[in-house]
Amino acid sequence: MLHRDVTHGGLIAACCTMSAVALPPATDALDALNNHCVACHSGRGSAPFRFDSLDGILRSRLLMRALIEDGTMPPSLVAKSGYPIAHDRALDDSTKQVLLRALATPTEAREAFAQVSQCDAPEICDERLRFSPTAAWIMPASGGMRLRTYLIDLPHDSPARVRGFQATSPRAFGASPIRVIACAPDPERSLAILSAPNENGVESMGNVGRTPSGALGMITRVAPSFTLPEGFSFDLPKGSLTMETTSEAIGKCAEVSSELAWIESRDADTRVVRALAMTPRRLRIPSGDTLLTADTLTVARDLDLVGVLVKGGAFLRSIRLESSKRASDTRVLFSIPDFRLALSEPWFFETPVAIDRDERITATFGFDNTSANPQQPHDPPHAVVAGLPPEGEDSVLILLVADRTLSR
Amino acid sequence: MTGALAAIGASCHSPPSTVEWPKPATLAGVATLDGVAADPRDGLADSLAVVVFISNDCPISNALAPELCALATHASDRGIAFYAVHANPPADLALVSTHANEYGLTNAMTVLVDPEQSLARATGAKVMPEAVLFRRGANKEVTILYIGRVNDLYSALGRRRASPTRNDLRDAIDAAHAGGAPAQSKTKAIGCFIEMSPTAG
Repeated sequence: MLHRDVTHGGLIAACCTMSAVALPPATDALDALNNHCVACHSGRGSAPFRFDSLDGILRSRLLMRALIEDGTMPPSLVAKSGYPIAHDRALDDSTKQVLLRALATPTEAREAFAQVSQCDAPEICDERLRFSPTAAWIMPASGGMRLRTYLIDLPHDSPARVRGFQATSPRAFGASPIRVIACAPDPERSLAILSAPNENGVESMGNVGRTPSGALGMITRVAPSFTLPEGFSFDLPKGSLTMETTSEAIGKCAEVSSELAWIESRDADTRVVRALAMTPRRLRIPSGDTLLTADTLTVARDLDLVGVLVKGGAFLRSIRLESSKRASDTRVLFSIPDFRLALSEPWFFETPVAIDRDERITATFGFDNTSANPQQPHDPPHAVVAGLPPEGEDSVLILLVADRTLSR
Repeated sequence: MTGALAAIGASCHSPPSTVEWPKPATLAGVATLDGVAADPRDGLADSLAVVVFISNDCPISNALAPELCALATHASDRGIAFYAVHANPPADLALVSTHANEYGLTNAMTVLVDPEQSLARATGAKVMPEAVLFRRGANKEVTILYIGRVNDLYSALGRRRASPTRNDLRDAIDAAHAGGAPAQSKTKAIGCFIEMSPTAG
């Protein structure tokens, strides 16, 4: 059962800069490990296992090998369809074989990874850029997901533009119950929706309208930082913002501390990114059934699609984003055929995708409410409607777009 | 030994098998957190016992800690011994003690370390968490009644349900306590793999 709480918070402070780095080709197993795994599986990352020590690798060797072998890891969206994704961690066949051979036995692992170097979280530089709720809260040891909404006052000297944000302590972030944190620029609207009668809570995530939650980015257990590509930035609202934290029990009582830090924009980041949310309307998934449902919009001006954010509950299995100028002229922009938690991260396109005025964009969501759904929480399945997980489904696809003709 | 255990795994509905655990009579390296040698086979003949292999740093194993505590109480109320066994304990055993306290295991069950995987090899367990329910004999022989997952909170690696739909170990305990056989003697456990020491066994 997902629970929601709303808390007023204050800003502690705010800064930091991060930039994505393209994956260099792997030359050996250690190279492959560093390039494809360590960013997440280290003190700098958010994944639960650490591969930046030989001991950590040896303890997880069999698991690593199994997950690499079946393609579960590293989480990747190799674009079988859709436009190329930037900085995908996909393993090419030869790199995959190099890693599998090195993980075949403890002896080979010791030899291959003897020189692995410890990779700890960097100090977060500037206290001014940190922000968080004024109080942490305690997540119980067991139970389902919980959603907590914070309203955070921003100081008058907050940056006007940001490229994103990051968890201030990636190591703690990975060991915490936090699954997702999203920041939205419109707390008045969020609060109005939260307090409105007969609301199911979905819209408070900003799943409809112009200012969806996630409009200022989203970080997850998979990706503890969110940075727009170079050249792009968000306008940070004056006053306050909404922070939403989704957490999941980890087996012991744990303090949920959602401290973040802004990643400031640079002078060259002149293109303003805004968010468009696409979500299933009037969703109802009969018990024991699968469902394909679509949301369509027509763009009002020429846009560049910079990236997408995906959020889904237990029943979301696939997402496909297409655009068309005419019925006979449809192109696939983005596709996740088999959605899972490990794919809950921002996806940026290698090159922003041009979408022309009057073009129709369609997001098709695939749901599975059968017993065969590996995340099905009910036996037998119940009918599912839009709402808070796990009883409801709160899927949303957020498009991060920039006006093609305007820059600051 | 291996053949006997393999036979257990051959069918999800195979009848309980009598299995003689390794000789010599002691299980090498198995000890309590105080360093005292321990053997879950010891106990009154015909009594039941549960061993669950766990890990201090496996999130799947840790996510089930509250359920393990509840099951340990459930078992204890029925006179059934309950052990949590670290089959790949870290070099620093203080981490195991800290883990037991943090996750509430200390007061609910007996926590053991099995650095040479004596128990894991004997039972055929491969992952953490994986449970083994057995009936003790008079001379350290045991009859394994159930081996497999605790529940289906995880249907696959990376696929976590909001809540489990099957509570296999609890069902097996109840069936065995009632004098019957579990509906399934083997299920597939999802978790972190037990790394077998090359020097043991």
